[in-house]
Amino acid sequence: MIRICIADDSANLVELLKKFIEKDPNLKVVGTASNGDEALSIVATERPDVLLLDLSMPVSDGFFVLDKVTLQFPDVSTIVLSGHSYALYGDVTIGRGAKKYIEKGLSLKRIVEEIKDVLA
Amino acid sequence: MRHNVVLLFLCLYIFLLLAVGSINYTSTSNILTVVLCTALYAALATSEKVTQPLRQGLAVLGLATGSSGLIYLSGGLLIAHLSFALALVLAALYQEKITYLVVLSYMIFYYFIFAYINPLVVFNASEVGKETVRWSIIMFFLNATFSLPSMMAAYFSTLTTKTELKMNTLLSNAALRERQAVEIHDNIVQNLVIAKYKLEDDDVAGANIELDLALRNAKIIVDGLIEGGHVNTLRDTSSNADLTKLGDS
Repeated sequence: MIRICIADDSANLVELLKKFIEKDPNLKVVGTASNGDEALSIVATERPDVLLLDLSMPVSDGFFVLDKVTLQFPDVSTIVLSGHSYALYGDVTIGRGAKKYIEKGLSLKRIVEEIKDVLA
Repeated sequence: MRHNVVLLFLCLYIFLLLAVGSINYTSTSNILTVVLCTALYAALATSEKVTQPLRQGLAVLGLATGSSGLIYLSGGLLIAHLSFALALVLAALYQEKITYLVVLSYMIFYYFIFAYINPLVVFNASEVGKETVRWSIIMFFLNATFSLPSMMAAYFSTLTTKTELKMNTLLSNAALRERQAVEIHDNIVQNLVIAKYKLEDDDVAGANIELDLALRNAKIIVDGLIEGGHVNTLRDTSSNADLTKLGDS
């Protein structure tokens, strides 16, 4: 069972992602966060296998969370899910410890495949 | 810091006035008058009740008064006249035109009006003879010339500070614009992505709502840019909350 935490300030998007991810019996969403601080708190308590992380979030943004998680929780695989193109932040975030960079808009089915792939 | 340096020199002036007055056997009342005038300026220049520009003005007036007092107590010695150059240099420390002009105006009054009326109070007869007007002009320009480098340094330092301030403002404005652009992009993309995922989930009605929201948000952002040229769409701000509220309605 792959345990996932979703961090995105759009409640609608989080709900959709959670609903679709949990259709897969091998995936479980253990926490959702609407800002960076919440995300860090959930990662610290739940220790998910995968953190699905948006970059633009209030309080603490995704870059801050990515740096903290990479440093403090190296066993957590972070997948950046961003509305910006790979050309803009892809290499930067992977350089800072993200396992994958997914542009928002990629089909939900592909997102699930990417989550499984990162732990394969 | 600069004000403290000027105040320190003002205090030194007071001791110097006492010393020069005592050495020259000037009457006690004369020494006290000059010292008290300078000390009064120093006291007012340290008062917290007085505004900062006024404190600076009082401090430089104290320096000018101290200089003219020093000249008087020394018996008009030419060397004592150079204390005005020191007053000008210290006034230039503030990097404000006004403080420099205060001392310069004082000197104009002192050399071209006061010295004309009371030449023997300003100059030592044995040194300048009857050429007091000529020496007034010489001492004025000599003091002004001595202080020129410090005035130029103050001018260029102010210019550099202003340029740095301007550059910092431009940089922070550019950073803000970049952040706004990112947030604007994010607001629209978010709605479109949700719409797409809802379609994937066969929720056509939900997708339509999200598309309407995206269109409305885009309109609000563009209207704001056209009207004010400054749209704050940052997520943790109230204006963005308003935008979200409009989107939800």
